[in-house]
Amino acid sequence: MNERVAIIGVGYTQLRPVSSDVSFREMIYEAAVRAYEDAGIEPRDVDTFVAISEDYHEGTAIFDEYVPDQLGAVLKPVHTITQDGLTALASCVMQIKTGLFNIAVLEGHSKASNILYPSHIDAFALDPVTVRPLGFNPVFLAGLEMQRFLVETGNTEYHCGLVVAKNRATAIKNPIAAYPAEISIEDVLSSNPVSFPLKELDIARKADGAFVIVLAKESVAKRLSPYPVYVEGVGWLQDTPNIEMRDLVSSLYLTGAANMAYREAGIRNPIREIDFAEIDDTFSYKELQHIEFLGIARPGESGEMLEEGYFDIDGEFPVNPSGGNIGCGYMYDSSSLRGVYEAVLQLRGFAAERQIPDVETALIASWRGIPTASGGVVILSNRE
Amino acid sequence: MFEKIEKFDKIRVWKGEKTGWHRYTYGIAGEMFFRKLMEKKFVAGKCPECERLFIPPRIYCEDCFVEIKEFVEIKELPRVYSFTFLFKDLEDNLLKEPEIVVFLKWDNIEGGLIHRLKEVNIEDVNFGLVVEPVFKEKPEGNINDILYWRPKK
Ligand SMILES: [Zn+2]
Repeated sequence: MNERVAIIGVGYTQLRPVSSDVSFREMIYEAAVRAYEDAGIEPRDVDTFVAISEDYHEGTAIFDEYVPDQLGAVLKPVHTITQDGLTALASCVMQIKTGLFNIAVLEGHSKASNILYPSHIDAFALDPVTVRPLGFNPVFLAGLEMQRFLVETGNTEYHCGLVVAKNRATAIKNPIAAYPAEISIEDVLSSNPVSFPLKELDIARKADGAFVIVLAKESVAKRLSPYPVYVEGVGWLQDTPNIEMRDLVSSLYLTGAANMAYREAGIRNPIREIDFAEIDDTFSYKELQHIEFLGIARPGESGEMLEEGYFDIDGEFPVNPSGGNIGCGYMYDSSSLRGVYEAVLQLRGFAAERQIPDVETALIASWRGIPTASGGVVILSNRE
Repeated sequence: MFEKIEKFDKIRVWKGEKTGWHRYTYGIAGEMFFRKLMEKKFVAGKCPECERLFIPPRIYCEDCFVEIKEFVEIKELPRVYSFTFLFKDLEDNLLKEPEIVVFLKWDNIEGGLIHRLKEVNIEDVNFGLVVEPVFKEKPEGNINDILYWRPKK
């Protein structure tokens, strides 16, 4: 099938630090109702469903069995991806590209506030023989990487503080963000050390919420939606799982995923051909590292460009107009779906107060979090 | 639609927990590494194709994808490649004293080890610092046979 694939509907819930009034099912249902309404479809029109979850984050085994009911997907083809949201989006695109399915639905959520000891879960992902027995809180890995990355690239803790101040402030104009705030770089630099040089405010706090996204092949999309947003390229890959084999400076997973997506989208010069980006900022330094390894800035230059306002919402290349994970809240593997949601609003021209003028092409880049070195890249555009 | 609960004292949750009951097989290369560690020695695997050495050793080279059969004892000491001062325990409570977590690398060897550094002035912790292991009196064949690392004396 040579038709493009388009996003024709997006549904969300408010992102919140805790959501003790609703169950995960009710959050997903709320997002699904909005997405179907936005796409002008009913669940019976959907041919295939893809959901994201990790059993240990959900607190049940075989969590994929808990997916169908709240999506209207009972007795429909459903599969779960225990991977990042953009990999799941790629799976929807591939299924539609087979020609067997016209409409696919993607679901991702976070009920992070129900995880009583999240660091224990992260620690359970560490190598059980060589690393986990040391008993460290796995955040040490971000501390080790931030240290080496800053020294090798010449970016500074000040630049990291600037990332936080920018993203928290940008989130003020995003009605779904969980952590909007006017904070200073000083606040970040003087916040409590967690795994020095990583400090409390350098870390995106977790949020609960859900996103549902409806995709369709181009001919169906044009019939159903007045403003389809096309998936022009997707890429995803994993670096080595062995922490000791990494250089703790580069994020090669994004370089590789970006090259894959750029090739498909026909992008040769990302900074010129892309108008804005939603880029993983789970830790402040990660935004800078990811910007550099996506080829948006040269190695070591992201901090200075940030200082010059280049990545501000009204800058030459806005990064995280939603407020990113730092401003909106970290949702584990579903975080990148917030990036997709924001990009769709921007490309439709529906981002209200935070609308970036005249945008045609967006980049979304994800990282799967500690202790992984995996990520995905998606290029979206509103060009007919 | 979607009206939220307003009386929060009415909210109920059920608390559950899961415990892992697993064992983790070291495997061929792991046995090799930890048996030598009990003798207070370090071994690396040598790839027959790219001829690079790897710590911890594995029975394959992840770049060349060929089998590794040669294991070589490493007599040199590693250096601090990166370090961090860790303030939180696994329950995210403040540690009584921060731990110095280090990523150690040996010159001309791929990979390295994550471990802890002690007996050191904070100002002296830096990239390139050569360190030596302090072993447990009675090693048991696991990564904690190394109690910690300290600057080479
Ligand atoms: Zn090799």
